[in-house]
Amino acid sequence: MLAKPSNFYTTNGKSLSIIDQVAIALRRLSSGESLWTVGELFGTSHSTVSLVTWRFVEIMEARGLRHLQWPTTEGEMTKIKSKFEDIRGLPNCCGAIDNTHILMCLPSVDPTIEAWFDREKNHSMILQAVVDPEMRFRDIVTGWPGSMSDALVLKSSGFFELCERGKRLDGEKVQLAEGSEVGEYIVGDGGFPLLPWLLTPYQGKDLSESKSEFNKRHFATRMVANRAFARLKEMWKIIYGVMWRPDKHKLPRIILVCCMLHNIIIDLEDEVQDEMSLSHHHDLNYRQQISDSNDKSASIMRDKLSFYLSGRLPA
Amino acid sequence: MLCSTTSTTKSTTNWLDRLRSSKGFPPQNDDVDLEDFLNRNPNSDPHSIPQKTDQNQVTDRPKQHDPDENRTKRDDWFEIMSSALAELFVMGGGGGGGDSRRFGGRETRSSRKRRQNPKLCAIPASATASVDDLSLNGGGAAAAAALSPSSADNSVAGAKTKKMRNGGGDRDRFEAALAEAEEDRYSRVDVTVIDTSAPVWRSEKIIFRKGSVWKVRDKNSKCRKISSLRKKKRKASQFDEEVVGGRKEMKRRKKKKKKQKVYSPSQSLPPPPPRLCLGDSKEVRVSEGRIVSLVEGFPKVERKPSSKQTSETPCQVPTKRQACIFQIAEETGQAGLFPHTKCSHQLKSVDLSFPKAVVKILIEDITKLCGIC
Repeated sequence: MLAKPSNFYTTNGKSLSIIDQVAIALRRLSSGESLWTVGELFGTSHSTVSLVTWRFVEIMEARGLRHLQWPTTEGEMTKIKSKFEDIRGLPNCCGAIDNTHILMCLPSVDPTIEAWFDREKNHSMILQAVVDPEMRFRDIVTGWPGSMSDALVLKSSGFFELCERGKRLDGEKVQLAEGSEVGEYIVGDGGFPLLPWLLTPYQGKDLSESKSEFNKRHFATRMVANRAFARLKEMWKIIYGVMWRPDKHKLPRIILVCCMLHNIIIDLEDEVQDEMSLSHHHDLNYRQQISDSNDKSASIMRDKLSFYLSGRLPA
Repeated sequence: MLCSTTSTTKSTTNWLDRLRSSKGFPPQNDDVDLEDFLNRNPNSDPHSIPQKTDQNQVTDRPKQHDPDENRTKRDDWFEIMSSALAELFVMGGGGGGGDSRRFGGRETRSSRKRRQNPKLCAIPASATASVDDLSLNGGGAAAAAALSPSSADNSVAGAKTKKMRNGGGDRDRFEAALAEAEEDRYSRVDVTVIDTSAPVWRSEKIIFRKGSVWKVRDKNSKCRKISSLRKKKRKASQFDEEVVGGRKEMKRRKKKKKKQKVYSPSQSLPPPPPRLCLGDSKEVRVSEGRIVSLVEGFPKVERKPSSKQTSETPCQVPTKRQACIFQIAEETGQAGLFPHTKCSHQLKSVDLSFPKAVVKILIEDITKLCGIC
């Protein structure tokens, strides 16, 4: 942003400083107000607001990726595991995965409109994220149309590939009992497939005590992902509600930058986040998806965990 | 070009000399007069057009009477010269330039021969090519398709014929046509996907969707651009593979097809590297909510130098947070919007609800990285 000389001006002909430009971009992203409203607020034109915001997005994308990355050091991962275990006792858990939909209003003449039409009859773009216990986004995938299922988005992601290759979630295993150990994993809802590195809750109604106990703990642990999405949308209102005919190629980049800003606020321990209410709802009126894909070894691992959590695992 | 040749005597001489020498005739042969040939033997050219004769020009021209004994010799000369002229004019680019030509004092109208609305006719090229191909491969259906008027009256059909010609045998052509028809039934969506675990975070993909069947490809796949036929065939084989249910069958087919492609004599473009063909596309198929298969091959995109490497400074989290953006502006002393009275009033009068600390770290980070302050 500073590398180039500022060629943005107010309506009075005054040059916009860097702080002005950052303020305009943040205002636009956080309030979700129209370009005209933000322009009037800062005494500049709507086109300037648009250009400045996009320039900010591009620079953040180029320079700020370190704010959104998978834990690189073992110490960092150990902290994450410890905090997850503190929530409801799930050992060796490294993250919680969930999906949310960014709603859009698309023109009816759009030839690709059908693909963006999701199961709840909205036009939306999917954001999938793996979240740490402090609600920090550690991995995101976005840009896929809303009609894609959670499982399919996961399976198309680089995260899936890395985990399947054994290059991610390949850390130390935790011994639950003698001869019984569990590797690193993340938790997700029933819309995701059950995999050795992704544990989902038990499906069905008449579950045993140990299974229902596991489900309760599982739900409480993965709730951090729900909260993270809810906070993201509440704080960065440009992706909250229904976006009016967005550029579908630019929107993923805006979402990425909003996720980065979300993480920066957490890193800064900003007091703003403490003032915000903790909401769990990020996808109102979206029903739970169900995936029938179960891996046998993952199923055994989940059983071990449920026995361990209910204290029934033989020592 | 034509005008210049007729207007200047010097250039005409040089031009004729060059022609003569190129055709192996001695220069400045007095027995042969170009205008004479053209004026006297217009009907000897089998491709000549019925011409309107300008009465004035004809009367102005000096009358010439050819002796009978020289007629045969001059006819031969005329044929040689006319073919040489035609060749020269085509090479010079002036052949198709205008509707009428003034040549040797006579006006030749070629517009009569032309259609009002000419259409691109692909029959001669494609038909002959297909016939040639027939002789090599023994195919019948493709040639029939190429010769049919429906396929010959537009350029797209011609392109398709060309693609099919590159393919090889009839079976391949048939499979390619089937795959193409199959692809037509899919709806195509271009998307930009951001995946922070991928080697390249941002990539453009193409989604082909038909009901619950999804196929995803990288948009920038060189393989797809260079040889769409190859991918179509591969795609067709993947559909077959799911029906057959065996990977070995699919690999066997791929190998077989690769061999065919390598030895294809009619392949005009160099084949892309096989790495790209295998790795640049990833296909996912879903049926009734279940993932049935994920075809092998991860996206092998060239790893760009990541921005993480360029960002040399670690994240500096300030311990004390600033109260608001206006204080930051005052502290840094940067002139801008805030010192201006009108804008400052506007800003101070509204409640800026965006997070305050974000502003500071962003400003610090960006200024550090850019090395301005």
